[in-house]
Amino acid sequence: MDRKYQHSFLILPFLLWFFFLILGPFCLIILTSFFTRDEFGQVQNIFSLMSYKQLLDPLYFDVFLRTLLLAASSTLLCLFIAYPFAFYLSRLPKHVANRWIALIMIPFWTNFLLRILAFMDVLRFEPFGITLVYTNAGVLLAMLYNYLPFALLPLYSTLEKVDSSILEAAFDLGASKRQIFLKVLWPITRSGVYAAGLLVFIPSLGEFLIPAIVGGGKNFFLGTFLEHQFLTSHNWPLGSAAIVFLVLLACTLLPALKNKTKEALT
Amino acid sequence: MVFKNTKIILAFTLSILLLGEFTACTKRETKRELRLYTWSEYFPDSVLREFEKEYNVQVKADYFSSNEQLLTKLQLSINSADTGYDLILPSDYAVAGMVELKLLKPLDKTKLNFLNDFDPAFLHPPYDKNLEYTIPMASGTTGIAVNTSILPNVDPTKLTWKDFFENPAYEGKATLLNDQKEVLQVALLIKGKNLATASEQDIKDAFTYLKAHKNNIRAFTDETKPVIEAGDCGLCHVYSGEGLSAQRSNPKIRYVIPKEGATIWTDNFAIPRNAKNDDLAYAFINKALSTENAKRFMENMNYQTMNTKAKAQLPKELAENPFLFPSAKLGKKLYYINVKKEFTLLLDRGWTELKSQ
Amino acid sequence: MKMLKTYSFLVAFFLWSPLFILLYKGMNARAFSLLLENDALLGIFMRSILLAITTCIISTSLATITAFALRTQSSLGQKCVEMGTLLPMVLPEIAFGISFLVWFTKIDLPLGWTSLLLAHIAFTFSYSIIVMKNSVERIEWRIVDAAKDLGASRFAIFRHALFPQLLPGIVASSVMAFSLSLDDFLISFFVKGIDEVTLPIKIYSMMRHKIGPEIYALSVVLFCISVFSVLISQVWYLKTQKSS
Repeated sequence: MDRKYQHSFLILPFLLWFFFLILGPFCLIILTSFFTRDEFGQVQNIFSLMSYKQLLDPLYFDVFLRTLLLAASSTLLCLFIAYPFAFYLSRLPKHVANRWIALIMIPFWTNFLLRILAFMDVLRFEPFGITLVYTNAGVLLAMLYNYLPFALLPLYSTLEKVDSSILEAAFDLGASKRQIFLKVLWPITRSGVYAAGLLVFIPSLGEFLIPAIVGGGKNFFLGTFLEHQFLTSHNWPLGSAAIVFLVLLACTLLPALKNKTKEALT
Repeated sequence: MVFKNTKIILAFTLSILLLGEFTACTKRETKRELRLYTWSEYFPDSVLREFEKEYNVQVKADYFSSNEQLLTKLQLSINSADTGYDLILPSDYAVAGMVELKLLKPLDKTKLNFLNDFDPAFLHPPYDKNLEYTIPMASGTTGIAVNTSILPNVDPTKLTWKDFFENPAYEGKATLLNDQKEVLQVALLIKGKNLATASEQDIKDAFTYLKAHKNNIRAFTDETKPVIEAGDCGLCHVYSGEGLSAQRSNPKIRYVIPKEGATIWTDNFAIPRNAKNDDLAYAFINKALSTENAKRFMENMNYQTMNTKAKAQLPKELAENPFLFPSAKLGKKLYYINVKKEFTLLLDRGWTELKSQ
Repeated sequence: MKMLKTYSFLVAFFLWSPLFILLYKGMNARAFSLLLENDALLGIFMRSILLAITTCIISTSLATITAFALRTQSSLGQKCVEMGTLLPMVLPEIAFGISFLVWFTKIDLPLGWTSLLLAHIAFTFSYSIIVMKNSVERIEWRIVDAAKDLGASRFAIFRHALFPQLLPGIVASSVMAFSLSLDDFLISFFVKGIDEVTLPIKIYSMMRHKIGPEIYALSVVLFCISVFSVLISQVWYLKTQKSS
């Protein structure tokens, strides 16, 4: 008891951060979502559910669906590409694997904007004559480019724990590669894959720069939609409602994230 | 256990937090400053440094990429005594809203020293008839930059907006500005209307047209210069200055105003209500519109400014450029963007619909 | 296995391809001379580095304190802290940026260095907590107890028994906070006010007309810093492996 009291004030920085920098702004957003706006875009202190009703409008809901689709396909693509890579690394001796990981992380210190612009230059090479710039495929590739390490590191962490002897044993018992993966490898690593997936999926939902720059801004995704509502349309209540909706959505995934990351990262 | 001494931790935490403030102090200046909010390319660093030297002040420049962004940040900063802006550069259509919201200070024209050389054509703009709150700095149009290496069979002089959207030869080769008012204006021009005179139905029809003719559009972008340079567009919806600059560096690019006409716009100096350094703001306006700087601006940016003496000093190729200085005949087909505020929500919805397919 | 190796090389190549372009555009004398002449850009660069360093120091130290505080909390308290930590991570950056702008304006906090620093600490803190919590959980207290039993002073206990065990976590948290801060565009865009310009903001505003060669030279510099720090961590890692 004594000890608990003595050190409980140590939690103060966390509390300050949480209430002043996280909860405060977020509560203000929640509040704003219940207000209305006038013609000039000034927020009026009139309580209304108008912005939430607007969200249900198929037009705006469409934006969400498109974003979900992009985030989901980016996630699946990242996982699909990262898994074999992570598996290869996990079978290497630790110091060699570390070098590979270092190799992957180096480009990520150069500025994100520059990398995206340079990636557009890469897309302009048009391999096999396919135009990729300003297309959905191009956006997907850019998402893959940006989020691959987010998937790779947790997947590596999970796969590293898989003992080679299990795989060898299955092989010796006559299992095909496919069976080894489906019956042995996948069940063990499944939760790690989910964790990695969430680490890609959740930030992808709010992605702004990639759809705007690589995608040519032809369609609204959640990120560009929010920017438009807040900076151009001055429709802060609607934008706030969209943010609240997004957070609620992500919160339903939170417990899953918590459990899976704990398993995967320890 | 180890951290029994709470004082140590407190001291540590405090010193950490003070570190944050200390790092801020490293930049405290004693000079007065001019706080400018403008388009990023208008005033290159060299011009700002010159002004700083001449008046022994510091210029803090912030850049916006759209008028809506300017309005948002202006509204947010208007009640601040210390961190507001001293001088801003709204476009014509943003001025009315700012005046109505009482965000601007009336201009004291006695403090301006170039009015004798001021182009009379811009003395009574429709959005600020007596130049009460604003003074025009630059004017340009919004037309099409044609890349003849990508589209060799196009005759730029015969181009129409209708073609831009409907001609299948341009499929996937056109780009539009990411600006809802400019794009809407273009659609209205095809039907022979424009934003100032359009009715609600006209606007709805225009958006219907746009939604039906998205095929030719490759992208919506405000980064027009790099897009043109990268060869991403054959027909690029662009501001005249950038179009003409591209033309000057690459003769294969031609800036034109299509048959139906185009938008004409002005960018204007204005002083926010809570500006602290008014005298510096006026000094900057005077400097920017002085003969020498106006001339430099026109040569570098390919937009016209309002100093007639400067215009007289321009080399022939610039002075006679029909798109830099539109003739009276062309002027009849140039329209200001003048959106009635009742239409704001309609515009917004139409734009979201356009971007949701 | 060989197929996997080739595959891995291809993926690595894919991840490096834009970098080749940046390096190609930046590694020439003209770019570097332009960079060295451009005082404004260098100033912005140093300012961003300063911001990143300050952010990582504050974020990591406060996260360490929090990690220790967690040990004395009830399990309900711990769960609450976990939830609180994860909440910001599910918020998209743009929502963060907008929320901060609205909030700081509402509480009359002037937009400038303070708002920028607070915002950066805000979004890096979650990551720091996760790393430091992990690190503190792995502390072998018997080493600390042993030092105490041997009669070492409080400071010596910290320095020789506790701190070295925390060091990997501190480094990891600092590196993460540093890179998150240096690279951040969206949040800085909303909260910076007129007085501050960070490197990503400057690059974004240059995107509209022309990205000069000096920016590519700067990306080469960032690349070198990155390589350098990775090499250092590799060497340090090998050393710790050898000693343990």
